[in-house]
Amino acid sequence: MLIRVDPARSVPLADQIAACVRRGIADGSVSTGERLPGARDLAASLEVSIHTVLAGYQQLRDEGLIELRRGRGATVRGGSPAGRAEVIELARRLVEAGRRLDLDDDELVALLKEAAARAAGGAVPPRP
Amino acid sequence: MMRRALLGGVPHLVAAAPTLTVLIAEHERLPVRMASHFAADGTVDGYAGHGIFVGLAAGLGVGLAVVFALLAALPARSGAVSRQDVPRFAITVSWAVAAFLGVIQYAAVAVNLDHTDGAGVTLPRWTLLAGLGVAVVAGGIGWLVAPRTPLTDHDPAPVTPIPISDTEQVSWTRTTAVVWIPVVGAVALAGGLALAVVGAPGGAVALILIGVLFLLNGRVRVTADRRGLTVLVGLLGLLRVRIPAEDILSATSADVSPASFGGWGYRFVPGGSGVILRSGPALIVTRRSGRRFTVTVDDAETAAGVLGGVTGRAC
Repeated sequence: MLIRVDPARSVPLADQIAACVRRGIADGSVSTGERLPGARDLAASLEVSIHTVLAGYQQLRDEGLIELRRGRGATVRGGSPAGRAEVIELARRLVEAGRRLDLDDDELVALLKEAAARAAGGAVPPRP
Repeated sequence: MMRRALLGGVPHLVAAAPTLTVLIAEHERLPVRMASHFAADGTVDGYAGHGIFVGLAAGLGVGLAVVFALLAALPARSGAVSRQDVPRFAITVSWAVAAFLGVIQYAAVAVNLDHTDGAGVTLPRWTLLAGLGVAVVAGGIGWLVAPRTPLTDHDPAPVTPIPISDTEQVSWTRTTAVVWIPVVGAVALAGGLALAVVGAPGGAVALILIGVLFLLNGRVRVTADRRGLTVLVGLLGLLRVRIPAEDILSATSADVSPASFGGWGYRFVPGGSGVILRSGPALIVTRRSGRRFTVTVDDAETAAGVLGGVTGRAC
């Protein structure tokens, strides 16, 4: 799994780390049950603070992609983490694209609901 | 291939021949209790029967012949792994070992001739030196008669370095885990514990040690970053290989086989070393000294790209 961070970019370093791991899970270069590099090791490797790495890992835990356990480090969760990581990545891209168009969150959510309803073949709810 | 196998194996049969000939043809000139083991000053301190001598000479001769024939024939010479001629080196070692054992064994039998019992037999002190001398000469001849091994593959195709900006940090990590190694460890450990229970401490300690070693060392973690290459072997990471970025001349990836290294584990071959847990894709790093380090790991191409990007040159 390749992790690249660039302090010169505007995106926070923790987000950059999380994005790289997510991509690694999505493309299968890290698989279910595999242990991610230890926070201390990865921090030393990337020359960033250990708190930055932990913040990135916590993000991934909140997304349900990895488990964080004291003493066991970070492991990729079971289920279908690759698909899940892909969906999360797509959601982020959707939000970014929406931001560029100045769509607010309600409009994005409405778009998603509409797409979901179409996919389910049901009635499309009226747009607010 | 066949020629190399013969060059590797036949010396051991030839070396065992004088010993076996004397043992069989001059049977009645040898004592029933033959001197078989000698102290540092050449006096006898162990005995064995005629049958043991014949069995040992024949067993060692045939056994080593097979082992060295395989060693000399198997390793397809991989230019990726080492620039040195490893099979030719194996033949050289084979000739030297055969000559040494041949001299020592023959001497140990010959000193027993015309004695009624092994008790009074002494082995001249210079036997060991003579063995070493003959070994050096035989090794030299082995090197000369061994054919140069053609390279099966040349320097592997270069890997395009991953561009890394000045401010960017990059870290690539991947783990290779092999199931059969800890399984062998568990079997050895169970056998060792069984021996310990029935009261055979020598064998028990050896088996338990091997078991624990195998159990712990079935995996390797490889990290490539701005600092260079870091390889942690085993669950505890007791063994660590670190090659600083400044010391890396180039990095590339290729398929390797444990045969090129003479087996699995932390291996040394002339011109290089490697951590070899399986056959297949491997990261190969050439140091500034020209020596190569190989580690078997998936996605080695990315790792080589990172190291290429970090060291700022194409591979």
